Amino acid sequence: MDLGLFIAASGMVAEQARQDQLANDLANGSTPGYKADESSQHSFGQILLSNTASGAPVGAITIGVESGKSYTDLAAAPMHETGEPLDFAIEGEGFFAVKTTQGVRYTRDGQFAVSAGGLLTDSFGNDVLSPTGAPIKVNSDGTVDPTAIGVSKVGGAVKQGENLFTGTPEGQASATVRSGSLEESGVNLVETMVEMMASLRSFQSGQQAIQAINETLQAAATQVGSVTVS
Amino acid sequence: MLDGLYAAAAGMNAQQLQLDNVANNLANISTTGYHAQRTAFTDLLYNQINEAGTDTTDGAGAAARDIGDVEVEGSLQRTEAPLDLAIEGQGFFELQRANGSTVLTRDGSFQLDSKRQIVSADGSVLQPPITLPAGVSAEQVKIASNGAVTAEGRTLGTIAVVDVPAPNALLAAGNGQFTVTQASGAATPVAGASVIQGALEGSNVDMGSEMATMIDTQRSYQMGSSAVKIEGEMMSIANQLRA
Repeated sequence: MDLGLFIAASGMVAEQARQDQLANDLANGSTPGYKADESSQHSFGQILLSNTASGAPVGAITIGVESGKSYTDLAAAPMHETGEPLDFAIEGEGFFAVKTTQGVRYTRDGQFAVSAGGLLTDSFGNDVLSPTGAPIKVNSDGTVDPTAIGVSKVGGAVKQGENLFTGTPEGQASATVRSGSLEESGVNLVETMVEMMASLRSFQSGQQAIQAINETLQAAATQVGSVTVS
Repeated sequence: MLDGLYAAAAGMNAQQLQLDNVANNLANISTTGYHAQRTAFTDLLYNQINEAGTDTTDGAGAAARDIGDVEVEGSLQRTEAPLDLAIEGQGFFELQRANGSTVLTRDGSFQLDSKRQIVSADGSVLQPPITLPAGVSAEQVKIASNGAVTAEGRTLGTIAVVDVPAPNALLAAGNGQFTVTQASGAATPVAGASVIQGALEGSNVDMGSEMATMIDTQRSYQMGSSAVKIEGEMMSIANQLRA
């Protein structure tokens, strides 16, 4: 069959994946410490066309596009003041470490609380860890010294939901923790919206291409060899 | 493709919850001792898509939850009423409701009931119970900053100020009252709390920041709805593919 059909369809599939990511980014426009996803699109390998009669090479053609590996944009987002004693933001690179039932996880969301036992926890009740990996006690006046909170360097951070990341710890990062502030979501809403529209139109172009090829094929199937008397 | 549709819808739901919260906070802008409620957003689970050797992740949107109060104290308002009390610093008054259950509150607008006991506006008895002897009027009552109640030189009792380890985990019970939960920990007396007679703690809702949050929420909701529309349009484009 016509190769073009499949090239156009692969482009549509890639745009679909992109659109899903963009929708998720947009939904997390208010999530503190959220990091936006990016995905690359790249072409499948090329194939060489040759003249069927003479065997002479015609040139190369790429056979479509695919979504590549997605990566998370870990750049620090702006902070905003909340005035809450147990809101913390990391100035610079690194993650807060929290102890979950599945092991240590990392987060940039510093919206912390105090447990019944007087320990600093994240909003799901997981203990926040100090630089030495111990739980942190909240002072009787309801505050915590920001320097008591550990900031870990994490390699290969991957999102797992509930604002948590998994990854390999690589020691303490040299970042400053600020109390009374939260890191905003890393999503640029306007940019995301524009990308969604661009992606939509690319998707539509793919559909148009399929339509056009379909019409050519239809002509080939029904008109070639027909005799019309004019 | 449907993943994105649901992710956008989940985000809209989360914004809706925040808007509800803002509305509730604004409605309580004049409620004595009210503390504004906070909403926290989180992302949801991620899917690894491995179609045709690709390695794309897509998320399921966002969720919002209530995470307790804004900690800032409301500003004190002088009323000069003898049984209006405010707590400076952390802590709660303890009340016993008519059904026997114990609740905590920061609303210190007290009055006398028919038995001359100090009770809250809804008739719950301030703990430990303090009864004014006959012939002593409310105007003669002096309440010291440590909670000691005296009238005409006679000590009538001491009002307890209690606190829990995790105030954000208290369960709201209406009327500005809270019940202790397992997550909040038990209520214990606070050392060094100061009770102020003749004043009430105003609501700590900050009108400016609530309005800003409301506008932000509305815009985010609108963007979510645009995302749903775009995903819908993509489906309709795909549906128009036919031989």
